Amino acid sequence: MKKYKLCLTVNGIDYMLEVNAGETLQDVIRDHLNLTGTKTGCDSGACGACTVLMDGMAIKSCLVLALQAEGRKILTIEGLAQDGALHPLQEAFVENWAIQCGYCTPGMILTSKALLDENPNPSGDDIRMYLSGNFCRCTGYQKIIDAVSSVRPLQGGRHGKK
Amino acid sequence: MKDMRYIRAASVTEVTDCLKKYGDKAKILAGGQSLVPLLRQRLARPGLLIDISRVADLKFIRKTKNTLKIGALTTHRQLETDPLIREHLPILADMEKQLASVQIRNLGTLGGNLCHADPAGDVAPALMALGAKLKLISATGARTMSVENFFKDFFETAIRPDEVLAEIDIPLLPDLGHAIYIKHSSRGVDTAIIGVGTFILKDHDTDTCKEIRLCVGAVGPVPIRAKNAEAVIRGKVVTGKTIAEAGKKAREEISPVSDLQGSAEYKKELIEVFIQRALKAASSGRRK
Ligand SMILES: Cc1cc2nc3c(=O)[nH]c(=O)nc-3n(C[C@H](O)[C@H](O)[C@H](O)COP(=O)(O)OP(=O)(O)OC[C@H]3O[C@@H](n4cnc5c(N)ncnc54)[C@H](O)[C@@H]3O)c2cc1C
Ligand code: FES
Ligand code: FES
Repeated sequence: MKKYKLCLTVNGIDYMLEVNAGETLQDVIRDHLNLTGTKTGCDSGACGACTVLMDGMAIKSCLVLALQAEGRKILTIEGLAQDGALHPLQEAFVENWAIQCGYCTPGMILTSKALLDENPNPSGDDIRMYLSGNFCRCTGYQKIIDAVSSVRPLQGGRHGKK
Repeated sequence: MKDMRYIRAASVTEVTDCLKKYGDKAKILAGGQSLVPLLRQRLARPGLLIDISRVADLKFIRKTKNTLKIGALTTHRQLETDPLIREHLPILADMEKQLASVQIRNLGTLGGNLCHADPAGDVAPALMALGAKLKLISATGARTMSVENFFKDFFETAIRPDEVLAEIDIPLLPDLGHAIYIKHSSRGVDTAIIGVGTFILKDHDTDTCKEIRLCVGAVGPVPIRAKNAEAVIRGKVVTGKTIAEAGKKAREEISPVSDLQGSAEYKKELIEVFIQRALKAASSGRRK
């Protein structure tokens, strides 16, 4: 089976890997790099559990071939906390009880990060629309929306709690 | 899939050369949002993937005197947010807002959506209503085709194995021209149970309808025009009565097929209701 060289950056670390043409970015993240915080739900683009950021954009890693990510910067849930301090979104999810089983949480948080980076002051409807590709089977949607709403911009473009 | 090979093309010429050499053993990969799931489920088993996603020449939105030209690799999200589109063809931004989730819109492309030819696709009925044309390029030359003639059957188009879809040309709306797309789905992110693209042009002096296109998606193998319903409206002043009559005609002339999103009986009801809603909204007079 032919192998292809793949260079990409995940959570700030540069990797050079060998992959098959048919492998997805999700396979690389979970199986090559053992970053299992990125979940697999449907494997067909419906649930959003596998969402990661690629060059800052929310994408579903089950819908992207690994080789499509050549040279890209990937952020997974493991890369969000800085020096042991949780990201404001992570704190907000904890404080608002926005996590039940937690399976959808990495995807929810990363999609929300893309939203806040684009639109620092989203309305409740903006949040609902943006998160509509992320399913929570524990159906704690209102808490999730509360959590994202509680995070507001601080000085200098960063986010903090309201 | 095990011995599938992969090429990352850098230019249109490289794409067409590859297609010429490998023919129908090769498959183009754009955003991958439809093709990757097919590969995963072994529904597509190409020997070679030609990744065109880095071909810069296929990414543009350009305004000419009478048209907007859009490169096939333009993503759904770009169309949704681009200022030129919002100003000149807001129907497209509206349509994109209703298409899948933001993650899929970030990577999925206009060209990929058309070539995938999902009968429930949202792009096709909107572009058909606008009278858009497609530019297809092969190693031996280029040809142009209307969106209306592009779709042949479920997931089948008129594109040849040696061709790449390069560009979508959309005529700008004339003064007093109005175009809208409306969709019905169970949840926002689901594919359409029905989608209706509508274009209406009224006469400045008489307020009668000079031109009309009613394009319905998700009711059969390919998106279709409700021509009998159009005939009811064309040349007349659009009133509650003509709108009701057009809805009935559309219901009679279209025989929808059942799919995962809805039964044929249900779709039959929706055709009448949605043709009426589309006509009401499109003829309400707002420019564009
Ligand atoms: C969960 C989910 C929900 C979705 N919901 C919707 C929806 O509501 N409405 C809707 O319309 N669509 C929907 N889609 C489909 C999706 O929007 C498009 O079909 C997708 O964006 C295709 O674009 P792509 O660039 O990813 O194409 P790819 O997946 O890369 O390619 C699709 C097909 O087109 C061919 N192709 C691609 N580009 C070209 C080209 N330039 N020339 C020739 N051939 C080409 C490929 O060979 C392949 O056969 C959904 C998809 C998913 C996974
Ligand atoms: S696992 Fe990717 S969207 Fe469900
Ligand atoms: S918390 Fe269980 S799926 Fe969302």
